[in-house]
Amino acid sequence: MERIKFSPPLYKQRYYFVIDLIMKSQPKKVVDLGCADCSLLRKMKFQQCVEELVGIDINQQVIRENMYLLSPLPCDYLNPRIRPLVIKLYQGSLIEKDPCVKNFDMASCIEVIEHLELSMLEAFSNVVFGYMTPHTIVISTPNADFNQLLLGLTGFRDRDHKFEWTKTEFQNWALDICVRYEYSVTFAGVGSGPAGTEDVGFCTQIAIFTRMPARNDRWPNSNADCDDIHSYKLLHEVKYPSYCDKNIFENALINEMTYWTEKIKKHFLNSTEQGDTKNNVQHDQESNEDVSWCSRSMEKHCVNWSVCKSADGYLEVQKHGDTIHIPLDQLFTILEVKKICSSVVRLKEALLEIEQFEIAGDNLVVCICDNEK
Amino acid sequence: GIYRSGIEFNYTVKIKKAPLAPGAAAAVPPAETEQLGRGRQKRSTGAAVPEEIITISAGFQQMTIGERGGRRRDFHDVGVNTRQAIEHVQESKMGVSGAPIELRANYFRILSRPQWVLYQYHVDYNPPMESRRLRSALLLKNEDLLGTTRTFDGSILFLPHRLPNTVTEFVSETRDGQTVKITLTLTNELPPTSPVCLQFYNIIFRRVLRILNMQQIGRHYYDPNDPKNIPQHRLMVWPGFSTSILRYEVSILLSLDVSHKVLRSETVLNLMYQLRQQCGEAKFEDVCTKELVGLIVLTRYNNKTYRIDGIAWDQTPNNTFSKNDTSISFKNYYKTQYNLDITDNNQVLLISRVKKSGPGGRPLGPALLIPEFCYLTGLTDKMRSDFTIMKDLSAHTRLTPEQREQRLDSAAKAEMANWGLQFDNKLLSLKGRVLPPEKISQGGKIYEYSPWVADWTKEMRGVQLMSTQPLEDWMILFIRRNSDCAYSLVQFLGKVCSPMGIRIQKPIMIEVEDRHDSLMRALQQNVTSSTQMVVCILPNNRKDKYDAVKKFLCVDRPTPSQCVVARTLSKPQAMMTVATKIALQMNCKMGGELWSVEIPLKQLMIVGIDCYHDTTAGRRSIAGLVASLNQGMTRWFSKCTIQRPGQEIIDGLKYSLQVALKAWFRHNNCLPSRIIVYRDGVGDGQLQSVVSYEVPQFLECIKALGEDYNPKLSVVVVKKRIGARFFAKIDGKLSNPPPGTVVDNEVTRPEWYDFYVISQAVRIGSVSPTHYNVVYDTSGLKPDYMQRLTHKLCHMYYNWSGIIAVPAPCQYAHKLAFLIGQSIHREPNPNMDELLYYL
Repeated sequence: MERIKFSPPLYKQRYYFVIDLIMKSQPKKVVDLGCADCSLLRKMKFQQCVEELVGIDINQQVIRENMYLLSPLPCDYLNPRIRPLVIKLYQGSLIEKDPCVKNFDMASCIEVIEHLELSMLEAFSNVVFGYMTPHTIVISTPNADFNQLLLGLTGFRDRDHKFEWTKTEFQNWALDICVRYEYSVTFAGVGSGPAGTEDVGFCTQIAIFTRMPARNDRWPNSNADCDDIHSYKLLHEVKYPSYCDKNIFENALINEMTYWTEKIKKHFLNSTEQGDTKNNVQHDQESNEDVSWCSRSMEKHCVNWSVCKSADGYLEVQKHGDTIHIPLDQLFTILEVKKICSSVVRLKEALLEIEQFEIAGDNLVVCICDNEK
Repeated sequence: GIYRSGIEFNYTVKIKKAPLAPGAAAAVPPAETEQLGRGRQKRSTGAAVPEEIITISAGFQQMTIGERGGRRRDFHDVGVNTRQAIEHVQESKMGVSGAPIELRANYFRILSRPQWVLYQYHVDYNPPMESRRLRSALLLKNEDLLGTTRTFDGSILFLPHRLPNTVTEFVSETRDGQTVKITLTLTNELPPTSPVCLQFYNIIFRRVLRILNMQQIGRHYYDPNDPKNIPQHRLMVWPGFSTSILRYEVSILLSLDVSHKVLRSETVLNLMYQLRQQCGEAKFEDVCTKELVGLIVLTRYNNKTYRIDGIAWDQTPNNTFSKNDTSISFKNYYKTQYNLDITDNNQVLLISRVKKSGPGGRPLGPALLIPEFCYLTGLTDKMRSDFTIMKDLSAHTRLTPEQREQRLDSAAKAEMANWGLQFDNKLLSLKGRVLPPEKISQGGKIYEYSPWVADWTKEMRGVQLMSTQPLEDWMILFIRRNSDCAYSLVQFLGKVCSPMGIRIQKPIMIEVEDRHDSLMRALQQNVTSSTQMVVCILPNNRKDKYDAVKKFLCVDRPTPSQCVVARTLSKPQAMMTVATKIALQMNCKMGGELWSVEIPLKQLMIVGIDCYHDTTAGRRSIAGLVASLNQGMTRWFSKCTIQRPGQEIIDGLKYSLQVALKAWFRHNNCLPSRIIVYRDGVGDGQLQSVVSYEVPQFLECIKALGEDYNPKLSVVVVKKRIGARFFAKIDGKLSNPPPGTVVDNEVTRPEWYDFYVISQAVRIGSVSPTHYNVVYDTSGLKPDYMQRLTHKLCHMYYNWSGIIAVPAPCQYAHKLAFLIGQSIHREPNPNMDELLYYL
């Protein structure tokens, strides 16, 4: 028999499994129980749906050594998230309660329970299913049935493992949990053996628990009495830049608006300079003349090829004396603006709040008088 | 695909081949057991670092410990000790002339430092373990013995405490259950001043910066929370610091300087769209390559910077690469790895050659990057030459001495104490000297300049030049629209030339059409071997036209030429000044001399060297060498060589030096008895190669001229871009020190014969001193003389009637290499060698 080699490596397959689950159920608050060197958290942070990410581990050293890997990258500042994200890392024991991780949307507990003494498992279940009560919990553990396929393995897969369960043992435990804490469970796994060994199951067995919808009614604030006991120690907290932060939002909007208005202004000045020599445009007159140059130049510059087709029309700009009016709904066709503001209404509200912009009706008013003069 | 891709994708190799430890059997140990066990393994970032075997207890000087565990380039040239070989500076390398001045420098003394003695252990595995990760894991299982503070690079372990025994043996077990005997042998005890301990201080300091939420980009740290936006150019400036803790002349100092990072708030893909719209489909590839190659990008998914080396026009996100023996498309890879969606599936990919070598020291293939996920950092050449961008930028980046001091103070006060490091809370005080102003002699007259201004444009006015070349057979080319400019230029040149002593005749006026070929044809038809000067009035500053003119007149028909953009001549009130400058420049280009300063040494040849590195496709380097021909340092011989593939820069320099010495012989009927080489263009960390490679080649080249020819040689490495800043307290305010300030103590390095000179004056911002490092010197010249000579040479650049920051031959060499690298791309005609045609 040949040594079984998993590709991608098994630990990665476990991560992908969790990530897939996040992509499907789009949780906002996620906790990784037993986060160790934070490598699963590092994958989770790329999920845009997640707004609060928490990692808990008993080993404070391993968290301290790796926590900066969860810091925002320089690009996270250049391209802020649309929704907020805060990451918190705690040192704590999974058999103790702390309100900081109560009622999350998802909890993962990957290759952790087998490191707990069987005697502690009861306390663990009580904390996770009875107190934290996340909507979804994904728990993985080695499948002892599979060990026969692992060449040269005697005893457990790791010296620190306190137990390794067979499929039946794991499922019995899980079903018992469901009855006691009103969860439902489905089973899955990663790492298949060679053909013909299907009945052994996966190398890693996984249970996905989901809280019963009616549960909350029957467990009203069951453990609220513990809520002022904080047993976890906060080691690290990092907030990612996002457009939900007022400063970042306003700065981004100012940048974008300044960029476009400068561009429009420049084109206007250029075109009138040329126009002067050609047919002496009377641009001093107060008139609502259609400044067609502007729509043309905007077509060229604002909307890049791929966007151009989907956006309906160009920026229609109107000139009033020495100002031009840019309709807000036109500005909203610019991709970057769309990204920063969710709607035209929001754009207007925001611009009204920022002093340097002048709004008239549904238009942004830009003064085109030459600054240098 | 043709290219292997991405740092991430380089882990396709299953068994990592690394050099084995000395004496290790060549047996292949079991590969890492990735398929089993507790999942949370660290990504194998460490595996990309080559595992070198280090000779124990030797070579400490060169060794640095990278923060991430690998070896890094020694940016501070710590290991290079050149002073020990220079006899006459063993006791002192300080000069004496000039008036003393109290200075401040951007260095901070370390008040308290951790009293660490580091213990160095060699770690042996039996059976030998190949994978560094595994070795590390096995060793660190014994945390109770080793403690949590340690550094381990795969074979050498540093501990802050001593183990009970000199040799410690214990047994560890792999996940497969294989037992491994590990032997730790104490090999060294490092005092707190050792380079390794200094590295630890640096690591601590950087950790603190990280805790302060600073972002590392490249080598420095920046604060992303306080960006300065320049929206009209889509630029962002992050303020930050460059830091290093090193051993200086008398003590260990923290060197701290303000640094700025320019970032662009748009992706490379966005920029590509814009370029395509601006230049059209046909020219897109060309323009795009020119604009992007050489730039540094940040990616959205990791903390690395990549240099763009090329563009893979045949690759899109739909292409696949192989990872773990399976092929995956870029699109899917980024979706599964980082949940990043690629919106444009037709974008071409960027190529970045990764310098680091892969497992076993094999070079990695180039990485392919997705433009949509890349953000540009820094400025392009085009932006640098855009006056408005630079003006808007400098509003944020130029700091007065006082602003600079405030920023530095705030950083030094950061909470280092908790980490066992504490710095003095004020800038280092030290003593410098201000050299007296030089006397400028010009056309029989001698004048002095105002010491604070360091400029003699006013004093020059109405004084005859030192020597002039007549303008008799010369021509002006222009297009019809600019004929007014052309005639006005002729008129004003007539006015300004005679007071300078330049004889001037009417030029041939040639009107050309505003077409490329029309101008070139006119040149071909009119320029003869007797033509003394060709003036081209260009309608705009388009580079291609300039390049074509220069190429023709430097290579095909060697003739001094002067290009003027028409706009420069459009303001009548400025015409006197403009015409004066043009007249001076033309005179120099034809072989005239403007002024001189007193150089007492006889038979001295000064050589200046600078390099230009072509960032575009060919990546050829161009070396300019400029050597003096006479006693007064007013005539120069210039040679430029283009590095051919597989050739070193020094090969070209050797040849240039040889022809320069021959030219000297022609002019002086003898060979120089002293040669001083000012070598500019040496990057951080390249000092060793200058010392051990270039200097011997210079010596060999000199020897080739005759057995008994034995001149005294000095080689001085010149560096402008350095972190040191000096301030003087003047009228109670922190200001720039006056021109001529020399610093040769405290912040110099004990292992070098080095000094700083501030020759130039700046009006805005903080002045940047120039660092001179004499790496080889058999001249026996006193340091004082070396310093003064260096400062004198900064007066001799004829394109600027004032003092410049580097010796004139370096600036000439820079100009020469730049012209060849930017415009001509060929070695110029030797007939031009004795003219400053590139000014």
